[in-house]
Amino acid sequence: MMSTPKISSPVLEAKDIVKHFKVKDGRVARAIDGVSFELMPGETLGLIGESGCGKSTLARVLSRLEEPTGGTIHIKGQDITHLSHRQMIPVRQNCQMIFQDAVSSLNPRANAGELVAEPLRIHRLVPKSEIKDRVAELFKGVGLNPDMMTRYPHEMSGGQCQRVNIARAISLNPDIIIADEAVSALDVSIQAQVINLLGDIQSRMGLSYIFITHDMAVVGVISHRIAVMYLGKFVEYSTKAEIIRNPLHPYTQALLDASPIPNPSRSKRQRQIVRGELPSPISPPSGCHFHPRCPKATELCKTEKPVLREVLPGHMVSCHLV
Amino acid sequence: MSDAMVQNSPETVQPVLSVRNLKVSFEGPKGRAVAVDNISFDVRPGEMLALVGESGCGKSTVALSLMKLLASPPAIIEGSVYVKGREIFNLSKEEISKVRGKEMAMIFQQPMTSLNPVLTIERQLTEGLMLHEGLTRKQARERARENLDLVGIPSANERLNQYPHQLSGGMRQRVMIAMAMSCKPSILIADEPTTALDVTTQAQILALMSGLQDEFGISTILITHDLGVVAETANRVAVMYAGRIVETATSNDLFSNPSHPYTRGLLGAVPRLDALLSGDDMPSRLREIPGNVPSAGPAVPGCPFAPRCDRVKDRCHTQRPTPVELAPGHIVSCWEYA
Repeated sequence: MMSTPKISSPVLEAKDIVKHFKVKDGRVARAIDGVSFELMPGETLGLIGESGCGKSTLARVLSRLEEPTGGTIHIKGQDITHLSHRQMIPVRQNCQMIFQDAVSSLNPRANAGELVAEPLRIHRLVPKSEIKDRVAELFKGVGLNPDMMTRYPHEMSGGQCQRVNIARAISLNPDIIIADEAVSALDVSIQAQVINLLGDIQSRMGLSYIFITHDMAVVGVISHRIAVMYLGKFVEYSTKAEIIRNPLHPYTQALLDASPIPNPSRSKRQRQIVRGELPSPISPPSGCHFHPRCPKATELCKTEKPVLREVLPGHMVSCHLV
Repeated sequence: MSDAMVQNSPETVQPVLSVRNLKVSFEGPKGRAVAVDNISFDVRPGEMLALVGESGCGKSTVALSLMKLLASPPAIIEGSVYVKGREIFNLSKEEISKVRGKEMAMIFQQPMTSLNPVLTIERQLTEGLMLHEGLTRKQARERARENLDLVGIPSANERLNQYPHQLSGGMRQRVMIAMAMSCKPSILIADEPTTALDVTTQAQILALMSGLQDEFGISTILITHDLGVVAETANRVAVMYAGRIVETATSNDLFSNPSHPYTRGLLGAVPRLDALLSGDDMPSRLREIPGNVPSAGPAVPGCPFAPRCDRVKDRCHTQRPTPVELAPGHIVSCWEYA
C-alpha cells in the first residue's frame, strides 16, 4: 500500500461472511449470507435490523464466538478466520464485546473489582502489584466510584453493571469493541449516560465500535456509518447522514417511518406501515428478500436477486428500483 | 375558546375510571417499600392515557392493582378505584371477576408467557366469552373467529386450532388483544404492549390499538417507557417517578411545554430522530440526567427527584410538592411552580 497505512487501513475487514446453521431435515438457515465491510480506526459502524436479521450472529462470527461458514475476517491486517483457540487469545485482547444483558454478563460470585481485574490477570498486562491501581483508574474512566469495587452484580443497578462491563472491555486497550444491544435494556436517563460514556471513551482512546441495535434514533446518534441488515444481508450501507436523511432502500424507509418520534405534531404524519413480518432465513423469499413486504415491489423483484452496489458516492443499496 | 371545546372540557364528562389516593407498599426486610405513593387520576371515555416512566417507577404496579391482580398480602393496597362511578376495591372476589375481563381487560408485555402454551388459541379466546356472556362453545368459537378477524389475523379458522408457539410475537400480541377485546370492555390496560416487538410490528400493533379505540370508544391506559410511542398514540400523559405522578397534561402540552424537571430531563435524554432529520449537524451526544433511577424504599418526605434535579431547593428535600395547575389540565408537582 502506498499511502500511510496507519491512518487509512481498516482495523477490521470482513469479506463475504457467510454463516449457515444446519436445522432439522437437513435444511439450512442462512443467518448471514454474504456480508462485506471495513471498519476504520476511530469509527463507529452501526448495525441495525430487526430480530432475526442476523446482526447478533454477525457480531459473534466477527469475534470468532461462532465459526464462519465462509468468508474471511482480518483484524489489523491479520487473517483471523481460521486461528485456533490459543492463537485467538492475543486477538481477543484487541477485539472485545459488550452484551445487552448487563447483569447476567457478569459472574454473580465475583465483585466489581475482581471482575474488572480479571482480564488484566488473564492477559498479564499489568504487574500484580499495580492491578488494584489500574482497576481504580478504570472505574473512574467509566464513571464509577472506586468505592463500588466491593459490590456484587446483584447489588448494582443495570446501568452500573453495564459500566463494569465497559470497564472490563476497555481494560485491555482494545482497538475494537463490538457492542450488541449494549444500551437497549437501560432506562432512557441511564441510556443517555452510557451512550455519552461510549462516545467519550472513543475520543479518548481512539477505538472503533461495531454498535448493534434495533433502535434507529440510538444508531443515528452514536454511529459514523450505518449498515441496515435484512435476512442476513446488508440492504443499505452508508454514512449516518445519508441513511437517516436520504434512505434509498424501501426497508430503511420503513424502519425510519416506523420509529416513534417523541413529538406529537410530527408523529400525526401520514405514514406507510410496512405489512407482514420478517420471513424465516430457512426458506427466504425468492428474488429480493424484502419483496413480499415491499410497497414498491415489481415483477423483477420477485425473481431477480438485487446486488449491493454504489448508487451515490459512498452510498450502497441493494434494490432494483434505485 | 369555542363552545364546543367548553362542552368537551374534562369537568363535564364523567370519567370511566377514577383512581383516588392509590398507595401500594410492600413489607420487606428493610422496612416498608412504597411502590405507588398516593396517586390519583381519571380516564375519560374513549381516551388513551399514557402512564410513562422508567423501570421501578410503579407504573406496572398501578396496572396490576387496578385489575386487583396484586396479591395482598404481601402488597398493602390503600385508596379507591371507581369504574363508571362504582367503587371496585371493596368488591368480593366473585364480584371483581365479573368486572375483570368484562369491564376492564389487560394486555401484557410478554405475549408468549401471558398465553397458556398448552391450550389452543380457541380455548383461550372462548373462555372469557363463555364465562361472561354465557355463550355456548359453538357460539363462542364463532365470536372468537370474528375477534381474530378484527385484530387482523388472516386465516382465523386455522389459527384457532393452533398453539401459541406456532405464532410469531406480533401475532401473539394480536391474540392477546383479541382476548382482551372479546367482551368489549370499556377499559383496556396495556402494559408495555409493544416493548418486546420489532419497530415495524410495533407500528402495526399501535395502529391496531388506535383503530379499536376509535371504533369502539374504548378507554385505554397505555403503560410504557417509550416517549415516542406516547407521542404517537396517547391523548393524555401522566409522567411517573418513584411511585408518584409528577406531571399530567395532554400529549401536545406535555411535549411542547414539559414543565417538571424530570419530564424535561427525559425529553432531553431520549435520542430523537427528528433532531437527526433536520439541522446543520447531527447530534452525537445526548443530555444526561445525572444519578440513578431510585430503587423502591420508604416514601421520601420531599420530592423523590430532588437528588437528581438541577433546580433543587432546600424545601424539595423536606416537603412534598403540591400539585399546581399551570394550564387547564396541565398539572405539575414541583416547588418551582408553587
